[in-house]
Amino acid sequence: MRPSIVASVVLALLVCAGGCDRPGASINVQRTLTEVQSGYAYQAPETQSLQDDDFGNPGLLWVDKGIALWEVHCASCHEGLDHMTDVATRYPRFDPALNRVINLTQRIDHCRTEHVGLPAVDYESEELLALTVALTHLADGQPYAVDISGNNAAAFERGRAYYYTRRGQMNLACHHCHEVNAGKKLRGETLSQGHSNGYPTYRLQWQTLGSLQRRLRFCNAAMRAEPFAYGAQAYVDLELFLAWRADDLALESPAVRR
Amino acid sequence: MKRRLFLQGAAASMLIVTLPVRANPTHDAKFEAWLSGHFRDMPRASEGVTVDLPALAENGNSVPLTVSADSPMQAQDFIRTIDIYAPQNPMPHLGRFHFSPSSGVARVNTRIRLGGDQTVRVVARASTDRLLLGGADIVVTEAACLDFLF
Amino acid sequence: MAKARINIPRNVTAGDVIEIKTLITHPMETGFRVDSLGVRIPRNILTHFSVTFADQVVFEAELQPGIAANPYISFHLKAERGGTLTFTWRGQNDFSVTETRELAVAS
Repeated sequence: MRPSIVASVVLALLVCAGGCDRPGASINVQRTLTEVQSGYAYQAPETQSLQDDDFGNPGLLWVDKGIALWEVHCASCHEGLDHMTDVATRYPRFDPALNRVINLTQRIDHCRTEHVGLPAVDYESEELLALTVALTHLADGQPYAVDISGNNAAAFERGRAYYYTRRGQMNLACHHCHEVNAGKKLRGETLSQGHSNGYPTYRLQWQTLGSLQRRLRFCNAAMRAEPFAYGAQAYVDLELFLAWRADDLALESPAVRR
Repeated sequence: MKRRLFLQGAAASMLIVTLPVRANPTHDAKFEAWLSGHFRDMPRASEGVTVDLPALAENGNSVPLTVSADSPMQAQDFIRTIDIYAPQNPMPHLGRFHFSPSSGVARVNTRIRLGGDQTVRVVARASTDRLLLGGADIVVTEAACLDFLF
Repeated sequence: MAKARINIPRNVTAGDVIEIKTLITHPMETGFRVDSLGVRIPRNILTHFSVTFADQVVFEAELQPGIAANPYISFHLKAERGGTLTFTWRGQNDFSVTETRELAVAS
């Protein structure tokens, strides 16, 4: 059999192996997973030690850059980086000025363009990645502390619905791979629980640092679904759901993944 | 139960049979040609080089490699260069590292790209124009999907 | 803006053989990849890394596309006395980064 056929058959088997519960049927605001596990646990020892290396983790190059950028552009308004150690844990969150839920990168970009007067840059630009990972790295070891009530509730519900909705030619929801079948093999890969606590992450496959939305775009493409553009509200909503779903997992950006 | 036992046995024997990197005469010939092209007929020893490479890499884009060569590292006898050669790669010569007596020890640690299963070769050249050769086998697994474009 | 990370041990005594670690941002584009339109991405690599101490080259590396992106290189040095270490990375498209670090050595 050709590998593509094998993959389709494997996928089809996987989807029903864990019980094909109907999406949306039995979901209330409770986490599907009883025990959360970081993507770190699914990596080879060499990849884990690369992440743990507080000098050689390549993601730290972007952290250095982000701190340098922050000193130049942000330090005059903010009290100091030591006052920003939990900022990353609270995003995505509702922004009154923009009247929608935004993630940390969008908050930084808004600050840059509105308050500092810098020109807008691409979502996945080196500058926004560097600032995002610098602030996220400050929160290293802390769990997410997102608010899913009030102004955030609608975005959270949309994100949750997205997570459990089948999509693409593969007809799979996030839920099927990363909850029902987490820990099982997909060809040479082990399916992780798909948590967001390591993003921005240095992926060996990318050979560079990338955002959570870059990873989500790839997830969509792998499901043969059309990815959204960077910064799309659907992704921000999903990020809010994922942050809540990560429960008490500690942030560990920049993580290193294969 | 019998079927399960059989499957377990089969899986175990497959592991034993397939994990070691098979001898590859093409790779050997390629390396030999490169070696004699660069170092002519310098005397060779197949010991004195330590190659620290994982037996299995889950991604060939970044594999940690540490190599060291035994040497007094004194003015009259030290390791001048260490070359890394990966015959399965499209460009097999990965790099050359230069040392001097002030290095204290001939050792380098870096991260390399490997395009598949192979024996990575290491050549240390002493200042006395003696070659120390070493190598390490590695299996490189492939990702289920490639997504660098996304 | 600093592009490189360099680690030099502290509390070094004369005669110690120390490990110096370096890491730099660089794509090490191999020239073998194609973009989403199938167009080959041109090769763009670091070709050379050198370290000098007191006007003497103490370590040097010639790099090829087989070195991983964002190259990490660590090497050793016999520390006899303190001074300035100069690190230089050079590559295609006129890439050049130079960084200096002080090495403190107790006698």
